[in-house]
Amino acid sequence: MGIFFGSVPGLTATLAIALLLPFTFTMKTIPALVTIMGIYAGGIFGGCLTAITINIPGAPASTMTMIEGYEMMKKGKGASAIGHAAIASGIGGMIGALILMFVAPQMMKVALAFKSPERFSLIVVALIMVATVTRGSLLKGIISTLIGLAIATIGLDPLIPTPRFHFGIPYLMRGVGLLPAVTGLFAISELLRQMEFKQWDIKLAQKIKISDFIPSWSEIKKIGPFLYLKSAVIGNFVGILPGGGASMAAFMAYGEAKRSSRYPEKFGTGIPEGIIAAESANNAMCGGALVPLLSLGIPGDAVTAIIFGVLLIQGMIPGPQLIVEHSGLIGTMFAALFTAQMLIPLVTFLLTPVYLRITNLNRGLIFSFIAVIALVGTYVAEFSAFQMGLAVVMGVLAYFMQRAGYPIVPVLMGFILGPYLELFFRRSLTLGKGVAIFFTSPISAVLLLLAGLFLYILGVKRPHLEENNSKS
Amino acid sequence: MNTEKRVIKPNSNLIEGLLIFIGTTVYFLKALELQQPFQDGQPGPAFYPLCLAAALYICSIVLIIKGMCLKEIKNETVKTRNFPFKKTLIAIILTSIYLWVFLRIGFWISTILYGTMIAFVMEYGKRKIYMTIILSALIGIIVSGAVYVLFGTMLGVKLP
Repeated sequence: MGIFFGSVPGLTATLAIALLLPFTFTMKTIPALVTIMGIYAGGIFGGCLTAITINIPGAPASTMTMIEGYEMMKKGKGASAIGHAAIASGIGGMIGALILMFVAPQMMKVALAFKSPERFSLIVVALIMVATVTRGSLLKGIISTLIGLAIATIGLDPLIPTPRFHFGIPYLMRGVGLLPAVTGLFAISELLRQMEFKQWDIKLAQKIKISDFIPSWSEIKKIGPFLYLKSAVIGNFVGILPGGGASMAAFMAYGEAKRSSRYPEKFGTGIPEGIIAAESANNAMCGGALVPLLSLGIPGDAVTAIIFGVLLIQGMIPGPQLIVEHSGLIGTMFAALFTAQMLIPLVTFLLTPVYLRITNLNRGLIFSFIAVIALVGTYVAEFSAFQMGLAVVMGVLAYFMQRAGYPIVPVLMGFILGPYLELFFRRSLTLGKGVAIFFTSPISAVLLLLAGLFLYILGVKRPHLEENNSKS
Repeated sequence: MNTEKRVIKPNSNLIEGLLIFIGTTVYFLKALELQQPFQDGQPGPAFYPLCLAAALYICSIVLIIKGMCLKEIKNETVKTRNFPFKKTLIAIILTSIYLWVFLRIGFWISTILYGTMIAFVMEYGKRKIYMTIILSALIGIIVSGAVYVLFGTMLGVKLP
């Protein structure tokens, strides 16, 4: 169910767990926790299937996978791309779950050292990486990020309950929801983009065998185990930080893989290393995101916020006493997460031939389905036709931005991270009585230095020459 | 079939820069309507949006300057696709109508019609017109049924 939800554009792991929430009232504790963990792991991975096959990430965390995966798909290597993604997700997810079980207390101490200035600086690093790693003009990448940040300011102020930029529309006082933003930016804009073509603009191997998914040993040997491990550790660490999330984990790992690669210029052209980095990290993030939730009672993202609700329904209060009082149940939860991650490659190899054949189906059928499910999915999330309208507005905006060469991924990242950026920025300024606090904190200063380095190395030293390639 | 041809692409930096400048001005003016950027020495609700507006202004001005500086090469030829933009515009209009009628006439009729129309626009020109109409109508019904099964039956969500 997790993979299914993650792989259908407009449906996310968040929505799957949100829709499942009422059902957990009637479930026993262990089945409820196992189901939630399965959907969480499957949902994060599932997003890569449509990202690779039809250039629409089923989940926001799959946007970096889309950059490389869709390029591989266009070259007729879709099966290989999915195989790499599944193996990387499984390995990364298992490493993340192991870290959760054995290293969580130590990592928790590190995460606790991140106060507002450090968190602000971390988000700045992530946003700069997003603006620079997506292909195209750096200036346009920055503008896209700023547009995303500006869209995120619509709605209530994060510190003082003051509505902003609602233009007299009461519905806008609550801001733009994540679901309309994601479906608009990726599903609706893709629908509009596909209207330009009479056929799929991708090649697909007609006969797909399970063996096609399994990468060759020489390929795996060439990539090496370090990339899996490094990306999983990055993803897990980002997951521990509240506000981190799968998207940031994937972006950070992808950016690091590109930075440390012997051939960084090939990133964006369809290489497995980018997929491996992003998928290892975003599935490893699952384990990390549970650390602050279970230990501190702080959900790090939308999914863990809903898991927080599930735990409460089951009579467990997330916090320092949780592991002491419910060690058996929490142990089962960890084991369920580990098992779900382990099963991802197996389930993928067995069921994905069906997904890859999706492009052999009638385009009218596929995109009618995508349009309807994205719009109805947006509607059912809040039972609001206004949210559907927002998705269309975002979709039209994204379509025209893409046509003009502006990448869309930074818009989404700016939108997701914007509220946290503002919150930590203003808190830091209030606490520190000025911007000096960002430089007096060693962690923050190092992170800002890193941000400057990324900007110089990825944005200035290696300027993006392919400005006309607007696809993010 | 996607066709590749060489066409004249005007330098769009100037236009994009101006559009972003105008959009930023609207954003900036709305931000000014909020409370003071600083209240009791602390950044208020207007502070962060004003910072964003400043950054967007700088970017738009850089784009405008780039556009003006590169004016002499505005007639450079670039490789691009022959886009049938008309279909995209029709899809935007159809989707807007769908949103408007979704709650008014209910899920079934609106979704069947919308699915049919989207499929028709995508399939138009590939086969005889009556075949396209029949195929599109079938697609509309299949899509509506599938989405209803998913949301209405499997998840128990009440659709209008």
